[in-house]
Formats: sequence, C-alpha cells, structure tokens
Amino acid sequence: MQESSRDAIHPLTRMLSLVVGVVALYLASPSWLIGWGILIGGVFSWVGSWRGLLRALLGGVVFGALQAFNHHPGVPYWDRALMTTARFSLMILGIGLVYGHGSLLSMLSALEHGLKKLVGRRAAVGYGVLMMLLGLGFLPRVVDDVQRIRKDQGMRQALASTRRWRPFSFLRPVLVEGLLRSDDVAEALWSRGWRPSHLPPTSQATWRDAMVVLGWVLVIGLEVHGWPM
Amino acid sequence: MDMAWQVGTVTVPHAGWQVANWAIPGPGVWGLSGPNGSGKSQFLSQLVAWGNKSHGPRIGLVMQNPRLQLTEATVWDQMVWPFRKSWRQNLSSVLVAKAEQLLVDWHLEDYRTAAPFELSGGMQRRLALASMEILSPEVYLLDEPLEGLDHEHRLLLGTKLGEWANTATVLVASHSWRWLLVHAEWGWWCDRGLSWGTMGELWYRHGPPPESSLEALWRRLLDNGAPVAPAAWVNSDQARSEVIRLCKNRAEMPFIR
Repeated sequence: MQESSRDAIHPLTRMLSLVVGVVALYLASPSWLIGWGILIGGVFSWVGSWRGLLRALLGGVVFGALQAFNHHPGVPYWDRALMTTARFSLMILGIGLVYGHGSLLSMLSALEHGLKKLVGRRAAVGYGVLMMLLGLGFLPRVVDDVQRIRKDQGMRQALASTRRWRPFSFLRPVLVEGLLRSDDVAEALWSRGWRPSHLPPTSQATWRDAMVVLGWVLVIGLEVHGWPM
Repeated sequence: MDMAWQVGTVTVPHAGWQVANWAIPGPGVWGLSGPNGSGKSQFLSQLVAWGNKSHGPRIGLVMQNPRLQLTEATVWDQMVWPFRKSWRQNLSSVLVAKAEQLLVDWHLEDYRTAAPFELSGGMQRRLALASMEILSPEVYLLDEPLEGLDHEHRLLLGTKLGEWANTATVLVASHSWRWLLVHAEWGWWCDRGLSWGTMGELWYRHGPPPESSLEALWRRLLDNGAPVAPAAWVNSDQARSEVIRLCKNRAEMPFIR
C-alpha cells in the first residue's frame, strides 16, 4: 500500500470522479450512451490506441448530431448535437483519465484512511476494506480459474470418453485456490505494514485535486441547472 | 519432421499473435520456450480447445498451476475418477494395477489416501503428471513441468518423456534451456509468433546470458563460427569430445590460437 504516497492525483479525488462519472452517465440519454459506447468500443478495439479513441470521440460528435436531428427535427440541431456530444464525451474521457491515474488498491487505501480519520482507528473499518480488497481482487481471477478448470475437465472427459458431470469436484479447486489466494493477499498486506487498526499511508491532497473537484462540481451543477446556451 | 495433425491457424488472443498452418508434429519430445507473457500457456490452451472441438488427437495438458487440475478428495480418486462411470462402480483390475504402478513410478504410493491439497507443490505436480499419464493421451502438453520438482524428479520426468515419446507427441513449455536441450532436439521459440529450429540454434539465438563458464565458452565458439553442435555444452562428455575434435583439427580452425 506504499505506492499511494506517490499518486499525482489523490485517490479520494479519483473515487469522487468515479461517483461523478456514474451521475454523468445517469444524466446522459440512454440512446445516446448506447450509440456512443458501441462506437467508442468498436473504434478502440479496432485501432487500440488513444489516437483511435480521439477519432472515436469525433465519430461520437457525428452520432450526436444524427441523434439530435432525429429527436428535434424542427429546431437548429447542430449546435445542440455538438454540445450534447462534446460535454458527455469530455465527461467520460475525464473520468477515464482521472480514474485511470492510479491503482484501485491505493483508492481503497485512501478510503480506509479517510474512514479511520472520521470514525477512529477501528479494526472493523480495516477488516471491511480488506474484504473489499479481497472481493475485488478475486472476481476476475475466479472467473479465469473456473474457465481453466472447466476446460481441464472437458479435456479429461474426452480422454476417458465419459460425459459425467461432477459439480463438487469442479468446486473443490475453486474453493482451495480462493482460500490460498486470500492467504497470499493477507500475507502480502501484512508484510507491507498493513494492520487493521493502523492508518494506512496515503498521499497529500494538492491543488490538482482541488481543481479536479471544483471542475466536477461545476460540471454537475451546470448539468442540473442547465448550460448557458 | 512428421506432421501428425494439421491444426491450421492458431490465434493467441491475449498475447496478440497468430500462427498459420500450424501442425502438431509426430511422436517425440518438442521444446517450446519464450519470454514471460509471450503466450506459451495460451498457445497450449488453444491447442486443447482445438482438440476438444475437432476430431483430432487425444490431447492432455498439464497446466502450469497443477492445483487447478486436482479435483478429487484423495490421491487415488484423482488418479481414477475419469474411469468411474458411476460413484460405486468397481474398476477393472488392469486399471487398478496401472494406477498403482503409476503412483509407485511417481513416488506417491504412500499418499494414496491423502488429500491432494495436503501435498507439497512438487508432489501436486507429480500427481497431475501421473493422473495425465493414466489417460494415455496421444499429445502431451506440459506447461512448465519442472516448477517445484526436485533434482530426482526432474530426472524421472526426463525418463518419462523418453517413454511417452515412443508413441506420443510431447510438447514441453519451459524456461529451462539446459533441460530442454537435454530432452528435446527440435522446438519453437515463442515471441509474437513461433519460430522453428533445433533447440541448440534457438538457444544460441534467444538464450539468456551464460550462467556457467562452459556455456560462455560455447557461445564464444559459436560466435567465432566453430563447427560445434550448439547443444553439446549441456553434456560435459559430449562437450569434451567436441573440444578435442576441434583441437585435433586446429590447423583448419583459424580462430584457435
């Protein structure tokens, strides 16, 4: 958890950006969001670079224009379309940049720090965050393990010419791997100085964090009260 | 090289490369080496996926992490579960004798009733290898099989490879050049694709900096164009005879002063 002290953007600011991002996505029109998401995903997987993503954003502007024309055929739609697409595209890009500026581990570490400052150095807070860490770290690996085990069982069934399905045998390595992995994670955390009732080290907030927070407050405020055009 | 089964194009998605017109070679031991993250394990996994959906050979993969293959409550059940069509079915005496013999071969006979997860890492790997051997696949895919094995069992695995290679194709992915050079004559280097060659050539082109003085000497000889077998340094007797041969012909070897 020591790496959090080197974060250029405070992990709690990143967490706030994530929350704001959810709000921004909630405010966006679902049809716009789906079209935009498909376009971005398609172009990014095709090109696989930030340049490709910027091209996709430009594509998003065109798509927004078409959407606006579809919904408001009677009013001058280009300004509105460009505004809609630009603001949501930039919001989503902003969330991506801020959120992707560090690890999930440092974000949870900062959350633990903040909570312990707020309610005192209670071990329960530490254990709660530890559970979150384990849960978040586990899921992708468990999915990976399950796929491998299924593939192995399929292979053995083919080798032995049997189709018998054995659910408990299937679960055994999943559970054992999970337990061993939790042991590994706990050992790694402990060896790096984590204790349930200690304050984990975290970086200091800087003027960058203040700017990011103010920026998001401004954006959400304008979203709620309406943009001046 | 005899090509036994035509696989076609193999795509390794996460490592981001594919190889066209790939074929599984015939019986023998074949090496596969490459840097971390180059896609060796994924490649083997893709071969299993191909084997499951095609009418190709019977493929058996021993994974890098043997724990994912240990599904049964005891070592004995782990050996025989694929042959039990029902919970209470009695196994044939031939199969029981074979399973017992394999436990003896892999030095696991004293752990018959132990839970696989109670075993050490090396024992778990031996159990994974033994429980694959009993299934007699036509193609063995071994992903880092040396991990956790002590010297005695590395030798044992080498002996087993020799036995399996009489009738089956054995493809071994490993980072241990020395071990691969001893057991495999031909193989592939995996790095954004597969390049084929003798293991000696592949070691000379892609191997890490030398770890022993003999290995360093061999690299220098090859750098100077000496006509030596690239893989000879792993066997000190063979290396000595190669050096003696070079010295006898020193008049024709301008690089020897």
